[in-house]
Amino acid sequence: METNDGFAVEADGEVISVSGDLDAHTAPRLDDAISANDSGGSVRIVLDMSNVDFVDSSGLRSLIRARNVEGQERSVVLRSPSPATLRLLEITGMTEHFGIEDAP
Amino acid sequence: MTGPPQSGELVDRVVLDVMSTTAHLRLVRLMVSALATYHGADLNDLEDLRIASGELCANVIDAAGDGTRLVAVAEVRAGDDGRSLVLEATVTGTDSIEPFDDISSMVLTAAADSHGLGRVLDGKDRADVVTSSAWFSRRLHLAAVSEPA
Repeated sequence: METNDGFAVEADGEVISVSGDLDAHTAPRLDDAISANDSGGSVRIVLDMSNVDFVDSSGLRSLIRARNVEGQERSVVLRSPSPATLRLLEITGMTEHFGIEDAP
Repeated sequence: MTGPPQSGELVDRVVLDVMSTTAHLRLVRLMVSALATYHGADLNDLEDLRIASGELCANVIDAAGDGTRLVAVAEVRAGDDGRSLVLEATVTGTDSIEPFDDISSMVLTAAADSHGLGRVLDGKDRADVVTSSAWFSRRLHLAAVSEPA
């Protein structure tokens, strides 16, 4: 559901679609959505970032947290990240910790 | 008739005075990117300025007390070989700003030319009235001739 800050998260199986700015204000909602979607302890999660225009370090921390489920590390794939998202991954040296894929 | 601005001279200044809430981080990013765009910053600058300004203000807001305000001042100054944008974000609260953690430091180091923290007591060394601020400076790489009318 989209709120008045333009941020929304929707889960559909292993794919979680995120839209809006992922920052210190909105990142907790992504954490909540990922936790709520973790009941099966999936080993892979896809975050559709095609509608995310901006990510800050709080958002990055959420992406890092998404790699851990029930004490196990899992694969987190970022689908269609924006240049701004890729720039943040690049300057923090985190690019290699995530799979990057284009939209199917 | 005035000539071009001298090095160090203030060219433009925008002040944003809002509640200290992370909901307003978007406003800060918008202010900084709009000002930098007006002064001809290129796309890489704009991306880095959005990252740096959000990072800076998120740390400042984190230190703010209840009911406090965030004052973010963005200044564009002339330099010998271009222009620079400086953002200073200040809150008056009960806590000082924690030193930037590893990720924030990495982000600010990469996205800005320099950054720092400040903390000023009210002159009477009262710990309950502390003005905390953080700032960064970034040289603008101009994508266009930048002498707005």
